[in-house]
Amino acid sequence: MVKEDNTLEELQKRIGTEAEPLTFEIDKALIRSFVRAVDDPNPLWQDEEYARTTKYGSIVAPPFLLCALMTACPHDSRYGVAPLPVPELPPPHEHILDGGEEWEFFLPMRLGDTISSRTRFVDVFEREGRVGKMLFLVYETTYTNQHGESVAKASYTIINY
Amino acid sequence: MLTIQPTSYRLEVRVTTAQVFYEDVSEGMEIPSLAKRPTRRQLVMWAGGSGDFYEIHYDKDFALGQGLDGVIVHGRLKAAFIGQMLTDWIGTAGTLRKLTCRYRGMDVPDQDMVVRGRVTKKYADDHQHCVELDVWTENPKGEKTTPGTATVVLPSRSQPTP
Repeated sequence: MVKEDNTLEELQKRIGTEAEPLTFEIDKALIRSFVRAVDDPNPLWQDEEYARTTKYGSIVAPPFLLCALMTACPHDSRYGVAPLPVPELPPPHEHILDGGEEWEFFLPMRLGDTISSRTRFVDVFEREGRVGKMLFLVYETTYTNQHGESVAKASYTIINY
Repeated sequence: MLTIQPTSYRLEVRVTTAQVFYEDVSEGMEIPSLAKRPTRRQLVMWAGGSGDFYEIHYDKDFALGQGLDGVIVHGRLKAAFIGQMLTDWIGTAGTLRKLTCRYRGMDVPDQDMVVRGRVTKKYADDHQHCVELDVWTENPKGEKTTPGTATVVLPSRSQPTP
């Protein structure tokens, strides 16, 4: 569309920018709305008596809860998903594709934990694709619990063309 | 009318399923698949649960305006399905370490989807017994619409987890 070359340069200058941190409390309601949406009846996520018999000793959130929450959403940052860094420079082209994601899980998220996520804009580059110039924007999110321990890390690529 | 889902039955099956151990795994083997058929209702629930309210996942008119044939399944819901398959398989003694995926193909609601995984490598690392897998969701044509990889840690019979 317009000024994409300028936008690429402008975006490159913003590499390293961090979005406002986002904080979530891992509570039963959050877990419930998530596992109902996935349709995952695993008792480890909801049944305290059962969870007590496991190595966790209490209910934990499914690690892949992070597939939903606290991950940057390119389409509209007004909603409950983590804000994108550099919101003042939206991707210049019309179409947005999820380019792929990666999650690493270090520690379980327990009931009552408060998780803070920080999303950083880590890279932007351009490639010539079948449909013309494609812009790749890469974001990295770190997740920390209330004890300051690193719980997980995610990286996310947006393809804009 | 209420639809009764056989949740309690599934819970019971799951709880009594035997724990998988590192020694049970061989490279090339497929792990138990997970059958899904996401409905539009489920997409709305996911939108609410995740905060991703992008309209292509529940507003047909909007989706048509974007050049799609109708609403499409959230990529991250498919990633969560893969996570569910893995945590089902590894049981409570296993740990999910890493998950990656690419959203290569679109899936539409009210269509069967199978979530699958195949072991690519097993190795012991720092007293941990790791298994790497290829994972994916498959549409009725057999196309891998969400290919990815995963790393899990399994308990070993020679070194039982506490």
